[in-house]
Amino acid sequence: MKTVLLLVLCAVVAAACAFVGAVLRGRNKRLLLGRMHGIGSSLSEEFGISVLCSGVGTPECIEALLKSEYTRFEAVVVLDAAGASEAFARLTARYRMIRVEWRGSQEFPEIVVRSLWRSRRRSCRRLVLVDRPQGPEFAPADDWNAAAAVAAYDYLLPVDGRTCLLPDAVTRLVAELGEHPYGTVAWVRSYVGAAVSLVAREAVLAAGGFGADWRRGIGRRNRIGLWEPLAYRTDRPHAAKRCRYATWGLGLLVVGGLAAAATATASGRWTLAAVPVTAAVVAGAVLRARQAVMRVAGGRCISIWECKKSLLKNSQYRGI
Amino acid sequence: MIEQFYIVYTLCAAVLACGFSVGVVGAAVRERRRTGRDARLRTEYLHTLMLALGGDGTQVPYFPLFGRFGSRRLLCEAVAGVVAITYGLNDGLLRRIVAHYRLDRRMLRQARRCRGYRRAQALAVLACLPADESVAAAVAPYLRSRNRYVRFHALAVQLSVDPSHALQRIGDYAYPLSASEVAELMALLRRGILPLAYGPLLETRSLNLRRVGLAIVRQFGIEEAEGRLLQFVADTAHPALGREALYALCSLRRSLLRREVAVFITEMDARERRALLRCMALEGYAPTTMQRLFEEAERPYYETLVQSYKRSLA
Repeated sequence: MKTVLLLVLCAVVAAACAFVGAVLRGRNKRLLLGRMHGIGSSLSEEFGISVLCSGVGTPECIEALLKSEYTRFEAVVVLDAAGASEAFARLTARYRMIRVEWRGSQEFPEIVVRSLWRSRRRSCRRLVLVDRPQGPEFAPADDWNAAAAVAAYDYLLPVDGRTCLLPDAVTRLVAELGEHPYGTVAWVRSYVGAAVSLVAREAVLAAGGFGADWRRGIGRRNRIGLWEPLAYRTDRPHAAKRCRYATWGLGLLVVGGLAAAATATASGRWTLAAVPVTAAVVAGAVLRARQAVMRVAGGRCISIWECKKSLLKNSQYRGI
Repeated sequence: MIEQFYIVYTLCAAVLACGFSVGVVGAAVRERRRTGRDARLRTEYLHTLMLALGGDGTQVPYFPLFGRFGSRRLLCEAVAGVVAITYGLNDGLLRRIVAHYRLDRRMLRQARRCRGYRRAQALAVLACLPADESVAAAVAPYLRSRNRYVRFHALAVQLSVDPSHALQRIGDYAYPLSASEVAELMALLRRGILPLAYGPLLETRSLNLRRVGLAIVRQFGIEEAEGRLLQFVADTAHPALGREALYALCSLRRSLLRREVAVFITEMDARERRALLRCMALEGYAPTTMQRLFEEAERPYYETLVQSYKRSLA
């Protein structure tokens, strides 16, 4: 029994160390890519990315999307002009959108799109607005399918109304795609921060759209996982306060774990001491990883578990 | 026996937990310094540099608090930042500053001390500093690093130190350049380090040089290179290069109704053909061109793309 417990504790510590190592490597790579100006500028034109937005109606989020310096990039925003008429009117007025012609897509024939709009402002040429009826059984996956039907590029990045991309997320994804031969990467996801996935258009098409579990058809060799944040959640009003409490809590856990272990070892109970000291290692690792993630996110409070939580809690995000 | 293992484990884990705690505190202190003192000092150094560059450029300026912890790194970054964003700058004064304050030695020392991406970061800064020949020799071992970013930035350092041998060095680079690395080389080109003559690059046997040549053709819209691009498309030995050449032709909006292009397209798989159709629609090609290049079964797809395409209507 004692041997099994020791092995389990060793495995936990090894996992914590590997996690911190991966997050720190991700941070260092992100900082390095921040110095490489060629990737994000017009010089790199190898890969195109279409960001598919469902439920994103606030100008702040849309402008955050349009800030990207990468040229082969577009933001396709899906809204219901009938259901959210005010937001729709506000957007069309703000970005001087005009209605353009659109014919039904061959790739997603069942998708209903009322109209397609583009901006006349030169600075917002990369913004596309899709007017689509969103019924009572609304699911973001349907919006993403509609946006994918009008998207122009080979890689799709679906985001929902509660997720905001970090300013350098697109550049980071392009750099990751650029490291591999063309067409070999079908899915890039981040294990840290809000749930975001970059998917090859063909992989989504092969699965019949975002509603189905499109991940099954993608081979392990075609998947890439990043240990750095690409997006953050906007629906957390007390994120900063929570973040502070979490930091203090983890700090206390480290100190408490070490103190408890010291007490147990003083009385010669080494087996008992191993458990709190493992807790202290895990808490210390999480604390260090949080710090690195926040540095990458420009000081924003990003929970490193958001990705997993959103997957478990909400079935409509299944597949992202 | 197991008790002894527990003792060893507990001690090691306690050391690890203390290490993490020290790391957290250290990172917090660094972060506070970075947003406080470092930010002010960086602005100050940049201001001093700009004033010196705007002056007669004969005297090496004095930088306040130089010699304090981290100040040398800040000055390196300030000089590298100025070099990275200015084109056609006479680097005489910057060269004297680098030599006077021994900034290149500092970055070399940091590259030697660090590993992985941090080493690549040091080399990236070094690549922007006007340094002497000895630096190129010092970074040569990093050209064989396992980390592709370290390898590439070591190459970038050598290119910036000795631009006259830039093409030879890229040709000798033993690893295939990625799309982002080619983009970085194009940024170096804009700084005036690489020659703009695309012809010799396209004629060479080195795939890396050909890729750089293709990037130049694409970036500067050189229509005269059409013949060479068609040769690449026809070359079956390097299909990836042919694909890049085809996309370059597309971005130049040249006529694609050529035998080489038609043959290449018939050998593409359905996924690549659809991607090419989307690119062609984006570049404004007419359905008649697509009709002659693609099969009848693909007609509804490209007609939908062209007729509903947003670009032509905005």
